[in-house]
Amino acid sequence: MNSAIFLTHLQDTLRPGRLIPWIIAALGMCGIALVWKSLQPDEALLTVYAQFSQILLYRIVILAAVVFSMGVIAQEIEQKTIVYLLTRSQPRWALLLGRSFASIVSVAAVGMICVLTSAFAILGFKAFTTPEVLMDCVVAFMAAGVYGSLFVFLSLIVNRAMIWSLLFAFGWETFAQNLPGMRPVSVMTYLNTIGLHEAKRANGLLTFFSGDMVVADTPVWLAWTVLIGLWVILAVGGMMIFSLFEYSPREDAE
Amino acid sequence: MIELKSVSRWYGPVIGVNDVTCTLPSGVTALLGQNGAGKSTLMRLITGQLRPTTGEVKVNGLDPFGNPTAMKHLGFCPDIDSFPEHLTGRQFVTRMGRLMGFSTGTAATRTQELMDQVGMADRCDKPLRGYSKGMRQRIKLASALFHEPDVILLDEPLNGLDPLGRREFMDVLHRLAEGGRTIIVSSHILFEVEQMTSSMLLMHRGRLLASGNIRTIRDLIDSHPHRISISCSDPRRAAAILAQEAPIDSLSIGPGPDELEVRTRMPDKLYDAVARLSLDEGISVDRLESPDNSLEAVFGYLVEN
Repeated sequence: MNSAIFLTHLQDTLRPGRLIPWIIAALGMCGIALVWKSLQPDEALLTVYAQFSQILLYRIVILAAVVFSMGVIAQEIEQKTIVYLLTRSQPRWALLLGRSFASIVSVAAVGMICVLTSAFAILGFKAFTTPEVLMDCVVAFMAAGVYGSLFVFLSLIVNRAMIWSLLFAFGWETFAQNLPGMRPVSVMTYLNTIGLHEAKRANGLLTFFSGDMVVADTPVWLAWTVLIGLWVILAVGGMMIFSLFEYSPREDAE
Repeated sequence: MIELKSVSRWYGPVIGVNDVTCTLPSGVTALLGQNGAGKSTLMRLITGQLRPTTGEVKVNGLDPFGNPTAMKHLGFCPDIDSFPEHLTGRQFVTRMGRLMGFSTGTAATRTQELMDQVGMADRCDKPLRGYSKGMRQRIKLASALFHEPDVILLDEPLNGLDPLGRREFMDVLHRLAEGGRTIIVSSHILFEVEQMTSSMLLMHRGRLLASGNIRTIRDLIDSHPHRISISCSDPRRAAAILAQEAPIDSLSIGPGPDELEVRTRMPDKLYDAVARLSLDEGISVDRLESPDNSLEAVFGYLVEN
């Protein structure tokens, strides 16, 4: 595979114009983390961080995954610049793989920045040596990979993939975790499992958003297996679909 | 070499290209047709963006759909006006070269050569978002030529170019054609195409109406005699002589006082007779023109039929 595919897309996703909104989001998260902490003065700092992480941090990673994944192919189709990609001497699977990986790296970077800044706001310098925080960086990478591959896959098979992805990310993923028997069909369940956050973390409405209304223990090994398996299946499936089907702007077809 | 065998392409219930069979040789070939005729669909089929619903497309013997080897032979200048607007012209062309497998250094050197070739050397470091239509066309041409392909497809390449730019663009095309490349230029502006080549494919509503040299095509349209207008010193005497010496379908004096309009299916014989008017009969011929020998007229006749 030509490294230029990865590098050129990485340059696009990490250019200042694209990155500044996410840096602002990270700073915003940092501010919210401070408020969150001040609202629960009696709670242990690690518990406050665990709540914050599960309710907000993971979701900003998913949001970033939705936005960056659309840039892999869907945006190119919409802007009609897909023509330039498809007429290069690169296999289609390689184009998708290189660009998807660049997108995943960018989402993981955004996620890790958000995790570290928020953790710093809550835990101070201890954040950089706390296993839960460091594990959240790993969770951010896995979330970037699995959700990134999922949303790229969606963008290859449906129109208006951004809307469907957002509905999945913030509708399905929030509800499925809280519905009895539905937890296994939510990616978030497995991400929560590999995170090192222990015990009950939130109360009231927050329990719903943190996906703790239904308590079910998923083995950590199973969570890793499902996440890695999903990532591989979605990535390979996406490459096959992109190689087999047409991706040409339809509306100006003569 | 591009070969299309019984190629049809449907978009749901709408047909884009209908049973097209042709072989495109080296040199410049114009792909002509009105908007919606199927030109862009045909280009997309050749460049492997679309698959034919039926039939087959071959580029140097290869199926172009999703085929990187076929893409090495193809350079495509699309009709779209979209770019990654944040890039400069130089960055865009270099990036296209990198995606063709060139190293960073080679891509940079080749980009500079191409910028000189398409006349963008002094402006290529500005962002694409500030480029005029003509500048964008030049950048697209540069990216299509990057890997020196054997086959170059240009979809409406003259749109937005100023007269000087058109002249330069055509010179570049002729230089490339002289090098033995196959160049296909789509356009709906007949006047422009006439200046580029006499070899063409005429498309209408998805079908290939005619292909070949414009004169040959014109000669084959028997239902429409050639209309030839002659301006001379004695049109009445000239009319009498031509009626005797050449196979003429109709003849009329006018519209001007010294003008004569002749319709014939054998224009070469008429031209010989006109030469004799001047040489043997002493009639001064000021002007001789065949307005319906133009591409526009040929296209009109074919579409009308």
